[in-house]
Amino acid sequence: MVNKSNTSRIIIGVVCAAIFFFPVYAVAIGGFKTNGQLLNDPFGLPNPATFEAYKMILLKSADFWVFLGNSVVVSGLVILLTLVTAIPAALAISRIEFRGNKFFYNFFIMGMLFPITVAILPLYLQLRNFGLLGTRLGLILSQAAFSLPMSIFIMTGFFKDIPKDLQEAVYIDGGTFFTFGFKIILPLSSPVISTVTIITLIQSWNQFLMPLLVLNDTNKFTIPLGIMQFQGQFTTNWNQIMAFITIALLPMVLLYIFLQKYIISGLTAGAVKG
Amino acid sequence: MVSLTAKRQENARKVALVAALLAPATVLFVLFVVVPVVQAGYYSFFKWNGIGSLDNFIGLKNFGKIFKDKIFHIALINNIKVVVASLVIQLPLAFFLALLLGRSRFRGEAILRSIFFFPYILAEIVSGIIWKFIYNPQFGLPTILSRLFLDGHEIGLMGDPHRAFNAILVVIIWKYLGFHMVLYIAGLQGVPSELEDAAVVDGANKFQIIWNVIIPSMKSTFIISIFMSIIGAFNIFDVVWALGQGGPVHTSETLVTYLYNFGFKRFAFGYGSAVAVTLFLICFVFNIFYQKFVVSEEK
Amino acid sequence: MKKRILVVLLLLALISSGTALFANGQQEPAEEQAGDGTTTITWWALSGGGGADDPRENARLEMIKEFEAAHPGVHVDLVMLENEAFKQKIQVAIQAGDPPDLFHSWGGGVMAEYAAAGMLKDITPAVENELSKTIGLGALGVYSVLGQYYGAPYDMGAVGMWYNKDIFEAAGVEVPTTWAELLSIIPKIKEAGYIPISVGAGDKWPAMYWWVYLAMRCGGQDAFNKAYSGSGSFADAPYVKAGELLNELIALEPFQTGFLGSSYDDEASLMGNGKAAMELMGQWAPAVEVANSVSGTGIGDSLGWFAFPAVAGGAGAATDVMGGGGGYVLGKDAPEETVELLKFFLTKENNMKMVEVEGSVPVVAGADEAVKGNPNMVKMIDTIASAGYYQLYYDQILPPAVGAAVNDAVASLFAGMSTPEECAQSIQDAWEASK
Repeated sequence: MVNKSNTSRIIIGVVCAAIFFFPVYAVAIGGFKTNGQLLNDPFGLPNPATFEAYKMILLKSADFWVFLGNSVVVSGLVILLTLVTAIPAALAISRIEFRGNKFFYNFFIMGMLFPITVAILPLYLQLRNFGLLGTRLGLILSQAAFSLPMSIFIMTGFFKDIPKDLQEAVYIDGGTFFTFGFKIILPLSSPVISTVTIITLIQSWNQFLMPLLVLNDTNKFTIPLGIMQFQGQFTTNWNQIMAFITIALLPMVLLYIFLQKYIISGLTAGAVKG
Repeated sequence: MVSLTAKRQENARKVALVAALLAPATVLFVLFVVVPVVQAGYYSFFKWNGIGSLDNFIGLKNFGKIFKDKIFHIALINNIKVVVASLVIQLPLAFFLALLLGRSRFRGEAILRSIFFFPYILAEIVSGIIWKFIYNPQFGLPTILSRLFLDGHEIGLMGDPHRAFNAILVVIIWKYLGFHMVLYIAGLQGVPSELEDAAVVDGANKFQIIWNVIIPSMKSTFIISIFMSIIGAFNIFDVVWALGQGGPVHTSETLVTYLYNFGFKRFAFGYGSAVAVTLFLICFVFNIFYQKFVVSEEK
Repeated sequence: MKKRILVVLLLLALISSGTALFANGQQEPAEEQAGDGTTTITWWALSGGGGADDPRENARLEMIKEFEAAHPGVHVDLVMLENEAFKQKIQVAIQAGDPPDLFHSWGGGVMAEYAAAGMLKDITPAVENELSKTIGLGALGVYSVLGQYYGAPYDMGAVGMWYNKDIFEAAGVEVPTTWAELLSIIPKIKEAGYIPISVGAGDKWPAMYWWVYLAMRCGGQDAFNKAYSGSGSFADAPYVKAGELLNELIALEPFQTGFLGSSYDDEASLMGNGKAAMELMGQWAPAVEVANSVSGTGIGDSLGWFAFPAVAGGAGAATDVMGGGGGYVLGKDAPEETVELLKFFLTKENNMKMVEVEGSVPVVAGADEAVKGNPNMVKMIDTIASAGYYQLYYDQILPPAVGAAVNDAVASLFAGMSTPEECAQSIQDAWEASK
């Protein structure tokens, strides 16, 4: 490719990105203003910059750290549970021929047609019947269940593409299906596992309605509930809200940066070819 | 005889293996997704306020009421608007950006990609807060722009029944574009560069290459992306809710906010469930058509 | 294959509909007694925001500390929830048959619906024998259905006109006492460069107040009683007239830009920042204006209060008042000690504390000394005391579906998308459908 066309590429890319980034910029910058500055000049650079809002959240209030801890625990376990259940299921569907693999595939994929909102009340009743209301476990189980369809969808697509010869080679060497799973599939699967991890993480970390309904104890609240607590019934402390949002985003941003490479290769192999 | 027993044994072993592999996911899925969803379907045949006993069976009356309700029509049209905006603006733009940023041609590409993907990471509730701030009629961006370039009138997009939903469409495009861009970038990796090179040798220009070489070889990516985008468009909820709860005057209602406003908020749980079932049927029918005519044709 | 899927789905439907019935029939009482003999009371209250340090939460936590010290073995779990979040959460908890022990309620029709479903605890003896000694029966009545009490208020105020005295002076206008006068000052305030009226019509209920007040002025208690009892209708002349009068106001374009999408917070911030001249709002308005102002102090002493203007020829008296406030009700499985907690929350000292923290209008005898220095509050309390007819907010006194329909109908009137007749009729339709 010629350099000249790269220059125009860069210019177009940067301009588009700047437009896209604007809302995020407004938030990131908002936390460094007082509420007064923010309302008088919402999008300008803070002058002078103040760290009061950030200090308030990080130092004065123990809440933020509690919310963060809960979000990490909940999302972490949701991801773990999703992987532990989705990988074997996707393996069975994609690598073993039996009557009904197509059925099970469609059965799980059908779940992609429902947003969690649709069944929120029956789900709530279900959690109550199991005695899981008010517990993080109830939240984790239901979030993991709702992330299964997408995960199985992506993983099945990926596993299908692993050459059959490999599987047969394992059998000839006297290995079982489990040998095949652990020795061949898992080592090859880091891209697709990363993709599923990040998609599940995004969904779980950002869920608002489920945790709101399931959790009662403020000490178990996750970050989106924390944002709600900040907004309050009657108050709009915009600068604090923005500082809170910015900080709450950092863990996600870091993780995304680390996993970015894998997302694309995982999607390449999984969803796109599936 | 022996081989038959062996075969049977092998078969039994296979069934056990399959069962063991599928059981955890199936149990989890059935208990927390299938059962609640089917229950919601069951409630749709009742007039039920969600409290008290479920004894007022009214058959399909809830569904009749849905189809007569004008606000339901508004909601359905809005969902279709989301579909159109996705297909006509969002996906082409995402594809354009993927072509621009997907081939690792210059340093910093990864950073730009991250910026486009970023809104997808944001919680819906957070996106709502941010955009409400940006759209604020008194100090928000539209008003600032109007002061700079127009007559300085304050502009209140979210309070204008004719423009509120368009303002929401902007947010939807902004939020989900990055996801599709990443899908397309992933798809691009699968386009053999030899094909492109061959086309260049043949003297094809850029657009011809994109049209004749890249797009056909990314067909399966488009199939997935369009599918997700349409299903997502019908299920859209959080962003719309966070921005205006379906207002002003129900003009920005979508099917799921409608479900929430007219089912949950009014204690009409049977009715809300009927809306949920309708939504599911729309997605399901679309799914079948899509599988039949688009996906199978590709194969 | 397709057929088999269908069969399995049907099977699942059968199985789970069985579980559904099962789930409804079997509502075991929540076990409040933990193994070690302590009792836990869950308490859901409305948060006031204010970032990391919510004074409402802090005040309640202090009270809880004191209460727990006086009642060994009782533990109170306080959950502070934002207004909209609370409404979502309580609804699901109630529908699941699992209400918290003590939770916020505005009384009226919504509470009646909970009570009818058996979700609330009847505390009539405690109210009649004890709480009624310090709280007036009018206020307590909001928390009763058919003679049974399910809770008690801590705040009972009036909706009225809050105005910015400085803007009135700058525009050279006087406090209006009639609807015609109110209409006549709008253009003058506009000329002076201010927003005459701030309204958060996006949240609907702030807009609803305007129509309901006009309906009260036009039809008085009689019109409401008739419509409510069924001998009249919400589509009767006074209700249509209310819409017509409101249209006269709307035609003057007195509201801020984008008012149809504004939240109540936006409304309060325009008042608190001195940009708007008036708002029609309840007793909490000053506190919210302060919280939403850039200065953090609101407009201070420039804020005045007057009663909603009279309508010439209307059947309602100019002294009639619409209002309401907050209180607490008890969930069906609340342990006995919850009544003690409610009584403790409603002592004179604690009620005065809430005045300080939430700007509420005290209901406990003697607690009004907390508002002595506040002329606006004194005026409001006098107005309530002299009211011949006290109307609870429509969206609370009516069942939830009708309340939502009132809010919707008025919002669409504000948007110019329906006529006064359509507005009134749609409310009547919802009312009939709910019966």
